[in-house]
Amino acid sequence: MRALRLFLALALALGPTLVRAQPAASLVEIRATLDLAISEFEGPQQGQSLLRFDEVISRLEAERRQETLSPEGIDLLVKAYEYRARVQMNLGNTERAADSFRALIALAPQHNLDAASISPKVVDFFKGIKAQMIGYVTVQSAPQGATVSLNGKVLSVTDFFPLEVIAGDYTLEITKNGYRQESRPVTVTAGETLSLQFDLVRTSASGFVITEPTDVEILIDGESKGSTSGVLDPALAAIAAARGLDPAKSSSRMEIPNLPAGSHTIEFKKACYETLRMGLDIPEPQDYELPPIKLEPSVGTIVLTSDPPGGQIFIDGDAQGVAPRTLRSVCAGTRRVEVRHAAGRFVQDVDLKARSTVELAAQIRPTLAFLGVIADGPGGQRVLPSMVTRLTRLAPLTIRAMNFLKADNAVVERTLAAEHMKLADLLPPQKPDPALLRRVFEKLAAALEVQGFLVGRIPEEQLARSATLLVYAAGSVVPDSASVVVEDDASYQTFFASFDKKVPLRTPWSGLVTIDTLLQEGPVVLRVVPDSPAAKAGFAKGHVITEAAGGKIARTSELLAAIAAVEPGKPLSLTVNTGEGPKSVELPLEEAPREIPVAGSGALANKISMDLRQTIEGYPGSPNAAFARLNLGLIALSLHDYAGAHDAFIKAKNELPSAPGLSRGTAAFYAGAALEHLGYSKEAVEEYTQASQDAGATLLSQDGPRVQDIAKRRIGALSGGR
Amino acid sequence: MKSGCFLAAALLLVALERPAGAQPPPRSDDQAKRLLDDGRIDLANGRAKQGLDALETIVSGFPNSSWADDALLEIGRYAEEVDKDADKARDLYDQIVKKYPQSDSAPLAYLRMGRLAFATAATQAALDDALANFQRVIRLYPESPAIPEALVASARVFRRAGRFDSATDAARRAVLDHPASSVAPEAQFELGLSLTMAGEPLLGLEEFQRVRTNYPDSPAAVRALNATTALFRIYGGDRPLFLKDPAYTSPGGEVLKDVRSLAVTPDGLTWIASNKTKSAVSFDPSFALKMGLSADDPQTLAVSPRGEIVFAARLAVKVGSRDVFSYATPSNKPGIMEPLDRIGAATILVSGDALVSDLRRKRVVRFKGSAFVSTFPDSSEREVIKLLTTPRGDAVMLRKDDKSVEVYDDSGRLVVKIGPRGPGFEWKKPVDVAIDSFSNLYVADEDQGIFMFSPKGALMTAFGSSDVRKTGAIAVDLSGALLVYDDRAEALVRFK
Repeated sequence: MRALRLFLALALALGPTLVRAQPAASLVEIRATLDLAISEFEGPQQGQSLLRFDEVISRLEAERRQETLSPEGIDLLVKAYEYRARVQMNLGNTERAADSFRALIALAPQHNLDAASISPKVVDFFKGIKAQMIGYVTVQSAPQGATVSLNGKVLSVTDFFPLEVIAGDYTLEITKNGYRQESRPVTVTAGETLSLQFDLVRTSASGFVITEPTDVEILIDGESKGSTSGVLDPALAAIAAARGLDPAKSSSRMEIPNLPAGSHTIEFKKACYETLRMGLDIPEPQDYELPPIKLEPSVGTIVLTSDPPGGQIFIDGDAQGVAPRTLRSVCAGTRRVEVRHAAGRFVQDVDLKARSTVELAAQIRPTLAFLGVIADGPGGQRVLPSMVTRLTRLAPLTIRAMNFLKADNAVVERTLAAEHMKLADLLPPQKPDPALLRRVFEKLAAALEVQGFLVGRIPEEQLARSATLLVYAAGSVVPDSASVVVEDDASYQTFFASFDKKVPLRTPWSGLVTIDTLLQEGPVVLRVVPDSPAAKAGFAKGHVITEAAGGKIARTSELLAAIAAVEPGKPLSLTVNTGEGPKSVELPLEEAPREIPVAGSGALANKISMDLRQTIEGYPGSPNAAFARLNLGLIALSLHDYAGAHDAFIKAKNELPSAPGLSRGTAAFYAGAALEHLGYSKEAVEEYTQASQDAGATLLSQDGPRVQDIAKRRIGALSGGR
Repeated sequence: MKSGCFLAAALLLVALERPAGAQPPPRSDDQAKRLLDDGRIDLANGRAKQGLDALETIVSGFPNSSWADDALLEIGRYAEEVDKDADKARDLYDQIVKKYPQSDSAPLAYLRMGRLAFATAATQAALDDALANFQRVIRLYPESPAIPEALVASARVFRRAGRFDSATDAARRAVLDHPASSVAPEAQFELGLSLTMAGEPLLGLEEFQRVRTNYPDSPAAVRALNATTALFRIYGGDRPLFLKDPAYTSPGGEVLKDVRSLAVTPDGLTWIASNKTKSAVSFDPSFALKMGLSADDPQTLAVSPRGEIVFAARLAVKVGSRDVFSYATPSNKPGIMEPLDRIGAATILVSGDALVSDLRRKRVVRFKGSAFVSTFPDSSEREVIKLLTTPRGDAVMLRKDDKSVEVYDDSGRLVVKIGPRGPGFEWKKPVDVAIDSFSNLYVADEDQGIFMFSPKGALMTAFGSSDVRKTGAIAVDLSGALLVYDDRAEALVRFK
């Protein structure tokens, strides 16, 4: 019973394949039978082979009658007839042998026996039968190259020597492009040669052309007539050279047949060359020699830089080196320029004009891969297609700061299968091991060449109306999430818009620390950071700032807004009351790093993580990369990914200098905080101790609270066993 | 509660009790959830009895459901916030942490128990009890959303206990680790306060400003502006600078005659106690008249730790607008109580006890409600004409008899004594004392203006003698400005 079940299973699995393979298997079987018959023919019991040859012939003839016999089958049939005739001859049954040979000759009139291996007696017998059945046909035409058919079956191309044809009545046709077709009845008599001569009547013209370069497509009145190819006949080299063509780069002489009389437009087209368009008059059906055609290159230059640099350049998918780079001889037209970087990619379609230069500053953007939507119940399954459609339509339309692509399902499934996981296993409410989750997302990111993921989940509800969208950065283990109404575009767009929130790593900085009071009409300077722009401009404690950028200000928040709005390199105009009357000051600002305020900024922590990773991978070893690493740790900390945070802080600590402001001490302090969350108090104290030794280090910004004081308090708290 | 095994047990019981052929009963979890929703709606709509009945049904009928802990928490909240029954609330919260320690209500219950303990914590032991509850939240429920609040609450306990470094550290953790939490503005404010009390007022100023910058729409931002104003006035220059506010226009009328005392409550109302009108009346910052309290022979005004006005008159003390207390102390005859008929001043301590100055016997007496507790800090004679409670819960006494200011902690231990003379000052006739949010003391001397002292009793500055002809009652407003009653001009002067 078990074997039967296995058989049925196999039959079910292989059924369709077996059915499809039946004709091929039949021919193989027949060939096997024929080979067996031939080996019997060669052996001591030759007579036994006759039955097998009969079987082969019978089966092949059956197929021939149904017109399903392949050329290979015909070859087998010819072979079977020949061997059967030889067996019959050897058995002394010449009558039957003659029938077999006749059937063979009818099938293949040009067939001959191999006189070297077959008895002369048999060969002569065959020739005798053939002489009774075969006549000869030879045809010549002017011009040559016409196709000759007998009863619709192609015989040969003129001019040809006499060919063997079964004697009988035929309709002979002769055809050639551009010439009138001729047709006439003919009788082929056995043993005689029918010789025919045709003067063909021209009905259309032909054009002949040489091009430089080769592989130029030729269109007549918009219809393609093929492309030039080959190499130029040396005899035509002089003609080509006289027209300014390089014979070594020119094509062979190409015929453009079937040109009807009248006026035409002829176009010569080749990618990266200027298309040449000209008029062509055909007054009468004859050959026309077109002037040799030389196409001018149609190329431009793309000067490409990328931020970050080092991205791989692709033009229309072809690798073109590494940015920054000047690409000369880029084919004119709409070109897809792509720059791929570990930190993301840049894709733009560029309309490049011939002989023009396009300068392109490729801003590498992280790429978000849409992994799909998980529905937890039948209600969700019903609305799932609608949600997928909305997501894939709205995300690329709304998100500007990222590339968006639909992930290749096969790649996703393969990557997850390698970890014995399904997509649903990764998402809340499941709580996979963070290290596993991190590894899976990093593998997926590498496989898909993306930096982040978008996935939807529809909870199990009777009438599923809302769903959750989750965003993970590669390497993150905690998503940003938002609830969307499945059928409401606006809810998706609101979420997608948050991807475009900009949170720069560096902002304009003055070094002024001001406070609001009810005592003064403007922010009061509480402190000036040493060596800062404000210190150099002479600001001091107690100064009151009453105007910024030409407007009155009453609060510190207004001053900060004015500072943030200053363009790089430009000063901020301030009016300051120093106690000796108002004074105007042009305060030059610096760009200073800061801790990115994720909370309340409306930005997505995972999106910021992707941007930060871009800086880290795009500018390795730079100060910005180190500050980005510090912020990456802070985001992980805010997402309660303490292991990820610790890793980032330790790297930042090694990269940041010991200096005033956000620096090595800052990273050490936060590494301690992460360790504390992980339950490593002793190690945390060691980090805090390191932090406390960095006297100038601050938190939050260059003018933030001093790390030293805060770290000492933490040490005190931990050491006190509070 | 989200305990699977309890739920399974409940379902099993329900299944065993079901008669054969009956419809399957609704799941106990579903029933409990419905009752919880109904109970919450009833409470929110003033149907307290129905609401509490529904919640009690969950507790008694579905003790193993996922919602029993939530029901207990709701009942506890009601007891605490509406019935003001702290003991009952504490008992309910205690049930949660004991019966449902793994539930999401448990950290909230600890938090509330801590708050209840802290609200009246006058002793170190009581503070430790409050702190222990907050620390349990932090230690036992590291993923709980109650963590930021527990950190802020811990910081407040530490600050009250004088452990300013620990207070600063706890508040800093709340600020750094939970910047998006709903209590983040309060955490930042607490950080400013803790740093200031730790002797780092300039760092405190920066943190108060961060409240304004980071959380401009929060209620804490308004308090932070008052704090920056007050601190900058004190620490913005070489020494505190109080200048007469020329823009300030004193209210007028009978209420400014024979003014006995001034006070500013946390809601921004300025109270004036006048013997002429036999009342204490309040004004908002635009001088619109608000609440008034009448009393024969008004004495002093103080502000309780809960922010209520404490109005002491000769025969009774009013706390807020409702509670009136009269007092009696043991006489020389055993079992005989003598009423206090010459009350000179009163204040309310953190524990809720009242300190009342008995001018007839020249003693300060401690009462719980109206019940005599003890003399305070001892039975020595003191002619105290003003009593205040500091932000830390200490008692401030202005003594007429020896022209001094004494500060005692809740246990009666002397914390600091100022006057009648010291480096840079000698009082002639101190008539009033006031205290600001940072525990700085201001003493009004009738002829010499105002003396300002640090919490440790060091003279910081003196001012006002040239602007006030006869200094009377004083009060510190929310922004640290000083209101001074000029007894001769019968007007208020503001030093900003």
